[in-house]
Amino acid sequence: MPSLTTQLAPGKYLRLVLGLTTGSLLAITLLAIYCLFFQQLFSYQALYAYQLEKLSRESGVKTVFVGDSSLGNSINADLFTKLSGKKTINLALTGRYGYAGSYNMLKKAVSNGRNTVEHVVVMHTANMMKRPVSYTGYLLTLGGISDILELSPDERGELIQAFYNFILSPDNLSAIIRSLLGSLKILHIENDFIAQVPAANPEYKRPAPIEPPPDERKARFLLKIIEYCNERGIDLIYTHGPLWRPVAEASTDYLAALNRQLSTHDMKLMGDVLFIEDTALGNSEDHVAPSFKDAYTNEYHRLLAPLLSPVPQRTRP
Amino acid sequence: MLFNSYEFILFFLPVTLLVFFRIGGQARHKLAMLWLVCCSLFFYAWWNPAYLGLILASILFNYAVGIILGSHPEGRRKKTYLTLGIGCNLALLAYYKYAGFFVENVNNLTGTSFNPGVIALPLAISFFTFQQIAYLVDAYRSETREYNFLHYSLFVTFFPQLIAGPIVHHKEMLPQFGKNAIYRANDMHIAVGLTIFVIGLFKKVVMADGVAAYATPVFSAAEKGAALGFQDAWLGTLAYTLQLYFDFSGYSDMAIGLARMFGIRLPLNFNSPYKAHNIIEFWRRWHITLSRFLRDYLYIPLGGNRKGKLRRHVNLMVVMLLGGLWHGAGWTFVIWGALHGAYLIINHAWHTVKRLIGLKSGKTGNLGKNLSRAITFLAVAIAWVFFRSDSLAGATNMLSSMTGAGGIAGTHIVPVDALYWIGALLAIAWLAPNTQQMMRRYKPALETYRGEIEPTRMELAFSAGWAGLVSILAIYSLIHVSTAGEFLYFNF
Repeated sequence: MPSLTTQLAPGKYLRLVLGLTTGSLLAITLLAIYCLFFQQLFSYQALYAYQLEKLSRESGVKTVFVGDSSLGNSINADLFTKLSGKKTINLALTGRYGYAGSYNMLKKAVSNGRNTVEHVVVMHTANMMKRPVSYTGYLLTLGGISDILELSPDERGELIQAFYNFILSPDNLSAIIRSLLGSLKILHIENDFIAQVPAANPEYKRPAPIEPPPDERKARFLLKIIEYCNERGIDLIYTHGPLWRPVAEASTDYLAALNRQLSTHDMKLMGDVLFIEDTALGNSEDHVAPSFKDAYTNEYHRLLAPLLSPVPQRTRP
Repeated sequence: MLFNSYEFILFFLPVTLLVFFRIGGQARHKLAMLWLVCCSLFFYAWWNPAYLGLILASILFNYAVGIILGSHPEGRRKKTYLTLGIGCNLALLAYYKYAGFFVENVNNLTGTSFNPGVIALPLAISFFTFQQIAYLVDAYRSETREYNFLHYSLFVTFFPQLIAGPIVHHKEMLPQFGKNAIYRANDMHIAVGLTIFVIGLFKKVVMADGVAAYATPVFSAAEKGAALGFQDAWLGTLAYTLQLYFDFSGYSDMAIGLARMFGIRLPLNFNSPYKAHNIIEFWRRWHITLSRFLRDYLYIPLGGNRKGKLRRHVNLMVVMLLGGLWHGAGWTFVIWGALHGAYLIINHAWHTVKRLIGLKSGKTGNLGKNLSRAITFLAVAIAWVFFRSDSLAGATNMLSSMTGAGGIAGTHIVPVDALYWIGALLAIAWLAPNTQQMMRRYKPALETYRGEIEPTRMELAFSAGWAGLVSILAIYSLIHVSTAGEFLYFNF
């Protein structure tokens, strides 16, 4: 049997290179498709599945909250419905999905034909404009081919890379292997958030300020949300998730710059950051402890209510 | 169209190759060549179809002048045609590349406010203009002649070398285009070409673009006037030094690999320049075909080293200043060229001093060699600061930060993991054999200097092991292709 170092004829070598490359790319692609669309391998996908299931049984929704885990941990949709008098749904995912995931969730809520959405509230943690654009989030929440077609060629390129990176990242390969071995831990979902467990490494207990400036290039999919809402005459409000007081106080320059940037866009802004005191702190600096969720919902309603009042329907040609 | 794009790799290249060999295999060589010219023009027009007319006009004009030069005996009229030909080429380049720069400086000096409007730089204009000037001079010297328009068009437009070189000589390419063998698919050529292309793709997509992430923020901050720390300024400079190296090395490999798939050998353009022990050697290793052009068509006609030492130094400075301007219309490029001119003069002066005190070059020990390599590398890296900076203010800010003026620890723009990248890439640039050395047994490129592709113990031979490794590089690169940037030399 020839060894790895046995010299090959050029034709055989060529066929081997082309065969290995195309074969491997095909195998990776098929595995990625299988993992993405037919398996719930990852904890964050459990939350996505939970939200999809909830969306499939809801109807008549007037107010939609989209955002990350800071939203999932701080807004109780049932309570907000009672306070506002309008049926509210909380479609929070996690920070991993970014604005891109929120955009896809919003489209799902608006386009399913059972809701007449009047208000959309986008709530993300304050440092979202410091994080890379989440093409993975977009990929993981794709609703169909139209979601791909609406992207620019550059964005489609990024999506393809996200697709391959998804499967090649150490985290995901490890999840696949653990899944195959049957040792993958499935996380429990509670009322729109992944059940909080004490953080193994309480790094967040040391306040690290968010350094300015916010990078608007990271908000590519927020701009799409704005355009989407404006085209449909939906009232759009942006607000920040709550933040542990020491972090918020150390990040005032960043937060001011962030609000300045956000206020230049065609949407309403509730730029106050609700502080999380030590006693109300959950398992990260932007997570409210579950027992305080209703209190924060009340507070958010108080601040958002003036912005949620009926507005003349805007339409764009 | 970029070599490192899905549309090129998955569509353009396979279709071009398959159809070329399909037509060529039926002994319809002219049709196959026409196909290759059309594909090359399509490749060029992908960037901006508006400039297709410009390159076609340039080809037609130079072909016509070449015919005239080839059919005229020696004499004053022949020289007039040559002057006219070169003048028109330089005028084209001057308009598209330097008009804005010229007007800006006139405005600054005289207080006027002339506005030349927005003039977009046509892709590859510096390359195809120089290539055709070389052709005209060679035709004038009766070193080459061309009567076949199709051959000439392919010589200029052949897509592997059209955008960023190598700057090829007519006499290097035409004999190859005339060989019947290139029209039939050849496993050896395709295997060699594919291997070199994949290595180049990996260098560009993974290495160059990977380390670029550490260079860009530092130079942007310097441009905005931020006071950079010593550490950040040096890490940013080293990161750019390596980005440019792997970007151009990757491009050169890809160009050589692509041409080789068609059975064509391009001249070597990049030969581990950071291994150079002095600046003279650096310029025999970096952008070899541009150095060759500047030597043969500028330095030697200016008198070279034949008119005394002072004149040689003046000639060197003129050549390097113009070489700097060739890269871009800006004072930063002029200063970069001037620095290299000064380096070359110092290098020649050092050789003279060594001769005077009886030091022989061959007797230098390992310590001396490593020291001279380090000094050369440092000099080149410092000059790159001007090359990379958008303005003189940005460059001086970077250089002052590199002296520690902004403090030692400073700004922490560059994360610590940059050290691993920079360390690993420096080790590769200094210690690893280059692609041409590894592929030496397959004669991957034409040599400009005899024996410049040195032997190595890591020569590649077609085997299952290498096939596996090349496949891994290909897969990894293809996955990262979508976020890869343009080649830096596309800007020149």
